[in-house]
Amino acid sequence: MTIESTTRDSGIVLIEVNGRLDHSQTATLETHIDTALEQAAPHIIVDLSATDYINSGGLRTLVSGWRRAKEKEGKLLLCGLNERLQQIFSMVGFDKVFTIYDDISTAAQTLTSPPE
Amino acid sequence: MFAQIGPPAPLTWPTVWLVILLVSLALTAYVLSRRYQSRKALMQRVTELEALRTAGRTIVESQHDVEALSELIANEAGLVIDNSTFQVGLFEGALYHILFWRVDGEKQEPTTFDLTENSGLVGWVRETKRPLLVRDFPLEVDSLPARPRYTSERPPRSALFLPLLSGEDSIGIIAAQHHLPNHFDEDDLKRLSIIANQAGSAFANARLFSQLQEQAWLTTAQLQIANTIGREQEMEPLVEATTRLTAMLVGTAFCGVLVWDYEFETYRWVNGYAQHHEIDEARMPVQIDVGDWSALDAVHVGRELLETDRIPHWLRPYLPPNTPLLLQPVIAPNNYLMGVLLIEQTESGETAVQQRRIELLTSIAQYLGQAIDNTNLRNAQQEEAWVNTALLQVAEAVNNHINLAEILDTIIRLVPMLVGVDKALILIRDEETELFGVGPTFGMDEMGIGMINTLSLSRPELNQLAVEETSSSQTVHYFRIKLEDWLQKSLDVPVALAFPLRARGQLVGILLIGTEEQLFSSRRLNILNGIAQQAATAVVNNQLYKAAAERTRLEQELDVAREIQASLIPLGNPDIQGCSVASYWEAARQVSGDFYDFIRLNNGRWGIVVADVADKGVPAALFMALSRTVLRAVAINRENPAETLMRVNQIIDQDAQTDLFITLFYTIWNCEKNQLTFSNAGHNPPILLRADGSYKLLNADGMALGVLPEVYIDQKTIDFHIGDVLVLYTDGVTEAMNSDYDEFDLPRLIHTASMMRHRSASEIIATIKAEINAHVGNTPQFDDITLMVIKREH
Repeated sequence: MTIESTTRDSGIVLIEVNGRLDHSQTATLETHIDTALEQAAPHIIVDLSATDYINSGGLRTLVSGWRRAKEKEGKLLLCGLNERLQQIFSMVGFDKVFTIYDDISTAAQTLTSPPE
Repeated sequence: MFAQIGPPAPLTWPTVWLVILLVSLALTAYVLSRRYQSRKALMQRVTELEALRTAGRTIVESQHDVEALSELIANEAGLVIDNSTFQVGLFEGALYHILFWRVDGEKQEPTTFDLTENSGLVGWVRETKRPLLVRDFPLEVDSLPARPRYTSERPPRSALFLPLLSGEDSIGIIAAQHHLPNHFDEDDLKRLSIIANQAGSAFANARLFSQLQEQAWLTTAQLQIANTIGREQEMEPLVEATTRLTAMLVGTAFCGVLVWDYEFETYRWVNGYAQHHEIDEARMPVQIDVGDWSALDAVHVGRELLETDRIPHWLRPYLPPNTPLLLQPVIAPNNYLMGVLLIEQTESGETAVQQRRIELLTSIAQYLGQAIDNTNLRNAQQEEAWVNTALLQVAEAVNNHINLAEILDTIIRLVPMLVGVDKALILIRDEETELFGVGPTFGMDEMGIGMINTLSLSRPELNQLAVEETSSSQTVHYFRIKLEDWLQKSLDVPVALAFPLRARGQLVGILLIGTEEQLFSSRRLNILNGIAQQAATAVVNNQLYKAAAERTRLEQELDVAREIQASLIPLGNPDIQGCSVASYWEAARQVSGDFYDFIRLNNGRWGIVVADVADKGVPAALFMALSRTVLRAVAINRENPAETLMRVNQIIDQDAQTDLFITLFYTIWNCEKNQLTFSNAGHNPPILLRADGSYKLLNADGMALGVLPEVYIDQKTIDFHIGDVLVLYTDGVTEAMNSDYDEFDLPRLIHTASMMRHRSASEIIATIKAEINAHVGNTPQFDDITLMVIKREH
């Protein structure tokens, strides 16, 4: 049950969420996102490959980060959702809100390649 | 020899001695009168008696100075015999002191002979206590009991030797000699023996008097000591006065005092007096530890007077070379060793003087022991009062402030004033990160503070303090820290003490003290410890206050949220045509955002809603209220669920100032058409159980409301026949968890409902509820549980 942030050379902040993304971790995730959002045009990838559950609070935190990143002309991307998370995202309709990638490198590639 | 020491004390001579002597004289007269019957003889005897009585009275009434007495005896002897060559001497051990000496009418200087090797005739007389008449030395030399000692050019030919007796003791000799033979006869011997008797008594008296005088002097000296010691209350002046007086009374060139420090278990030089050099206090040792000076160790353990030749270097300047030193333990009445008196051992070999000196030393040590004990006791009381006053000041400061920062600020400002330290800072332990951060500081520059602040977060040393801390029954808890280089640089002092701030078993911080001094008195440690305790209490109180305030805030918020939510939940179930309806809602402890609704639409249709607002608390409750109101307003004149929800989303999204969103399932039941038309905005799909046991999840394309300004939401229509059951729920049901983190799950919900599908709506709900309860047991639930069951009955 940990959340780790690393800032890559490219300036992309990678946030890895381990375990359940519910009330036990939403506050921590919010702190990590807040920190990442301090940059201008923040590029954030939230890696959910080690996340086995998300509740509505967790979703809200991600939506909040996504919205604020957009306001700052940055991006918050998701990657590595397991089947269950994909179901949840799909059910709530968030697969249409977030750009979701299979893995970090694909997500990072999108962020570093020039906009089309 | 027996010269008086100190001022002559007035002492009335007891007249009893005079009476005794007069009685003895009368007895002698009586005996003599019986021996000499003839009148002539009687007359002669009377003259002699008269002379003897005069001599006796003179001797008896004489001053009690042994030298004067000796001369008086010699002179009085001259009244009855030829005293031109005469000596009066006293024994002291093996020594024979001639106190009066006249040879052929010429007075000689008093002298002393050692009788150890050849005691001669004097020794014989002393030994036998018998008088001796020598009529002619050359003739009698072989028959004499001992060899005469004379070696002079003109040796005596005749002599009289008489012992001076005091009781059973032979205390001295009187002797008359002459260079002519047969100069003395038996009568002379008898006459002189009477003088000798008187003289013996007189000397004994003189000696006794001298001893009495000594005793009186000793008493006076002790009184002086007692007075001096009693006057002083402080250690330094007490010891200074005592050493001066001791040096004077004992007649020594050096006297000093070492006091035993029970706290630090070491001896400390206090003060002293040296006759020849002023003592350089700066060069005297601050502490003399066990093992530093073996003689001191011996006295410390043995508690007996000790003489030593091994003088420590710091005492050498004040002692004559090759002089031994006496170490006299100073012991208090309670038998505690208070210290050691150091006295130069003067050369005088006289035992009497030595004994007197030691007797005096012993009593000085006793007085001093008591005085030091009193001083310590008084100091301890003053210390205690001082500590209490200081801590009271801190307590007042703490009580006058509510804000923790202000309290700690005040405390840190008081520390240097009360304890006199160079640097002080309070490190506060962060409860969550368990790292120490810098609180208020004293005497530190910005660099130091910055350094500690930066480094303490990443350095393990400070955190180790918490680990090193051990519970102890002692009243003072502190740690002398070996400073790490970086910490030393920051504090810029050689020594640091750390006082753990601990309250209710928690380590909440550290009071760090930096000082140049190596030794800290127990007073300062006590004050610092007290300050640390108060600071700890302040920190803990603040934490508790904050927690309580937070709890209160949360509780209030929770109450508000609960009230809002409860007000939105329908009271009872509506009477819907052709259906039985049951619902169950259970708010989680922290209040989640579930709600459901039945909206009566026109033409007998019913709108049925189940929703879940993301997140909890008052914002969620308010958002829920907003959504419900908007939905009701929008739904009332719309027949199309998708259209309804898309419009709701628009309104909510415009209005939403938070990142809250809501998942919502909305269906319209058309009894006439036996149809359910539904849209799903990201909610858990309801279960439609067919009478035949099959089921369908009511999925439709859509997404949560309040996230995006424009959303597309799909709409579906499905038949709802008699015997079909619609189960609506929130994720609190499917995610209801037991202690093993096992969820109740959708399949179990479907199975349970399916098993009960032939029963009424309320029976189905009761069974699902019972199943959920059986599943979770005592595990507290974080989410609301909302269930609605609508069964098509007819």
